[in-house]
Amino acid sequence: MTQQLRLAILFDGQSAELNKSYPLHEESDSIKISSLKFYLTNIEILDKDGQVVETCPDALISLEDSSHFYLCQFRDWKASNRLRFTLGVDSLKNMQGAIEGPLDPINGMYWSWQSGYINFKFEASSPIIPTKKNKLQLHLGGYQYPFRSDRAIEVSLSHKMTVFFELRDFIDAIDLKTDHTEMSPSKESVILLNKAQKSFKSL
Amino acid sequence: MKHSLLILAIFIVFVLTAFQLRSIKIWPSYFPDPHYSIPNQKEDSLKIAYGRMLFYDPILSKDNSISCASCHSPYNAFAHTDHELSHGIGDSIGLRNAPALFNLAWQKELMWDGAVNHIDMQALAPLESKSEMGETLENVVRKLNKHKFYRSRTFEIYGDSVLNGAQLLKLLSSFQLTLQSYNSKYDKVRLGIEKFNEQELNGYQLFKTNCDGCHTEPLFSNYKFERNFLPLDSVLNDVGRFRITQIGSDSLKFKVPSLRNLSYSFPYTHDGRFNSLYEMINHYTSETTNKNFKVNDLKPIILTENEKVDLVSFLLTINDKDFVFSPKHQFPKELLNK
Repeated sequence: MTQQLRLAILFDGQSAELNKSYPLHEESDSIKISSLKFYLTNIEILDKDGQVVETCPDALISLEDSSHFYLCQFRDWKASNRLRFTLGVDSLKNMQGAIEGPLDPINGMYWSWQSGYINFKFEASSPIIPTKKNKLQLHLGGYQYPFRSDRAIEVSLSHKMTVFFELRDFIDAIDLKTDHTEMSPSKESVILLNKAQKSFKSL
Repeated sequence: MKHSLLILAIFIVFVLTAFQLRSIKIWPSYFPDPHYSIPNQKEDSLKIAYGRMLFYDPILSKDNSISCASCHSPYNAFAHTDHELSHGIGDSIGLRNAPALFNLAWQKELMWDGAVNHIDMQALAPLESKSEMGETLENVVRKLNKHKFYRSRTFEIYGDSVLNGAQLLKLLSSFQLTLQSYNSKYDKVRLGIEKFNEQELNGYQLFKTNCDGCHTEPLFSNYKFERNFLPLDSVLNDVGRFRITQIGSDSLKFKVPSLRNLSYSFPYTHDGRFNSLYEMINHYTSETTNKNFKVNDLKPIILTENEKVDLVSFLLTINDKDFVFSPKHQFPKELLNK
């Protein structure tokens, strides 16, 4: 029997939507998301012994397309126990030259002034963000020490075979008044990617 | 009879192997192995030709006015003579001098600060720079995919008339990897075909004593990032390699340029501040630079005026006229019928 591995982007447990006002917990204000894109690469399904039973193709996830994504289909789902993937693009693929498909630089997730994929792109606006037009722009990436920011993630898989990215967790983890503009590999970018890493879970 | 057949078979294998090696390894034996595999002129001829058309076509810029060749002219060893800094759309001026393009297969990192880690990705920098071509990869691909001329060439290579971004980048790198320069007098001397005259020979000795550490033979660059001890231009405020690594010791370091084809590729340095070889040599032999050498544990360079003339005489032997005027790198006539 085949099963599909899926990813869902949630906000407070519900399917996340672009350009919808979401309340902020500790403020009387709200936040509106205009863009959320990230790479999931090196996706592997593991059995209970940690052996790889399936691999899935690299994926560019964009909330502009949907909040629910099909990652891949595999046969022996009963053997599947855990999911391992990379949030972002590893240094090997960053050094490989032009790659077609989801990693094609045409997808707007590659810096042009210096080499490297943008692992995670998050853009939003909120009255509490102290920038022009109250905009937040986080373009997080970097493949070289000390700003390497691809993150390995491993979660257990239930029969639902779905991994979730909870946007509320990520937004609560960052300080919107200070963490609002990152456009190049940096120490701050690494810290923010760590917070994005912690926002993945499975039910 | 059996014996003769065996000898014949061995001979055929030997000839085929020699031919195969020759067809793959086309650079001189005294060159190191390249970092990138060089496209095969026969098997990859369509890709090289397509990349060459793209290189010369201003369709790559936002207002269709600037091509790669605008700042990388074949007659200047693919640099931009008389222009200190690169030029872009709407008369905009870039941050750095357009470097000469040759022997790119031997350069792991590209750009003056090594910002680009792979030759496939290099074209993205000028393509999307607002002060150069001001385009996006997405829009260039859209323009090419609308064009009958390019759609038919895309189909010819990929069996599909729709080009993608990665293919476009690889086509450009295919052509640029064929820009190989190793047919200068120096190369002929290395191969035993020609000889240096006395002045050139003296210049060569001076070069080996004073310059070879960074401008290492036979590529005439170690392609590392080094300080040139030029004062920071307060308008450009270009800190070089530091912009990429954020490491303090990389401040004001720039990639060592090759000294091949100097007669065609002036002005020199990352911001094009020197127009002549003598200005360049005077900088490296000046009291101020020698003080900086000393502070950095480098050997001073002290040359008499006659020695400077001899050094220049040698440097002129690494001009490769055949490369600079080779028709196979020049504007492709097919573009006239586009």
